[in-house]
Amino acid sequence: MPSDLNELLFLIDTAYNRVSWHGTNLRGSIRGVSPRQAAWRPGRGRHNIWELAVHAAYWKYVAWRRLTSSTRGSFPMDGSNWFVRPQQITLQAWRADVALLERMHRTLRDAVADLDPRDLDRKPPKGKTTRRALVTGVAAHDFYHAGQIQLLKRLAPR
Amino acid sequence: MSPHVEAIADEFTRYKALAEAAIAQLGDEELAVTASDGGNSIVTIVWHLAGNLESRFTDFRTSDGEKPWRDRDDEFVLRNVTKTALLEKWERGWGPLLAAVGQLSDADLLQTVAIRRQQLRIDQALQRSLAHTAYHVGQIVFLPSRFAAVAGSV
Repeated sequence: MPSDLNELLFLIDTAYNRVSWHGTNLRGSIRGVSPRQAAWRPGRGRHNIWELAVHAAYWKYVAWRRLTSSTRGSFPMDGSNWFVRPQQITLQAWRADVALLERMHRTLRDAVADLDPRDLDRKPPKGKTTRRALVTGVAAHDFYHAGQIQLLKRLAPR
Repeated sequence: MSPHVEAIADEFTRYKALAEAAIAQLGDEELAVTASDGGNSIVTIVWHLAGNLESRFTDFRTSDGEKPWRDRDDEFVLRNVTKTALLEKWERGWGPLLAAVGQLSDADLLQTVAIRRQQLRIDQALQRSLAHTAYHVGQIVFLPSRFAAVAGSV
């Protein structure tokens, strides 16, 4: 596989679930989090860990759509960007949304692996940014919310 | 700007703007507030992030990114500062970063720099720094909403 693609895969993997030099990545930040912790809000109308996880899944989906220009598939929830979670505070519901995040990451990862390296610095059809910028942005987005989840875990009552 | 450098530079400036918008919402008295368990305040996070960036990107191509003059432990010392002083510190970190990135071309990204005596390709050094920056900006952006929640509960 060309090295440029390997670099991008390394980038999104370290942001999500591969050991990263700087500390906790997104998947690491939600590991061991209970449904009750995930549902705790620091204040009325403030996002909880659960919503941050689903939000991250949604943007991986959006990046996949933009990279592939796919008209197939849809995000399995109505709406966009932020989704009110949880519907029920159960382990089953929390695991289902973590599995969604996992699935969206793998789908995005497969799309990145299939890119033509010659297209990385070109915009996809109807895209506003290059493919490289899109993937770089998704990785930074994971780190951004991992930092917030780490903070929420400290604040949430145990 | 070359496309690869531009992709990284745009992310840095995006996160810089996000943090500045969050800080703009706060009064001087909120900057040093910590969570009840002693977590970091916005002042501490800014001091740490700016200290890191200033060290990494001053003489970026020609000296080790961990400067002898950097006092990392001091970045975590509790301090009360005005917003003006906070933003001065912030810009002292971002200035060297933006200047260094602005001089790069895509061809430079395969060259190496040293960080703590470890040789890293420039693209790798930039991505590491972007990860660290995004992580802490996430916390800077989150903290004002925490203050609003606490104020609302009183």
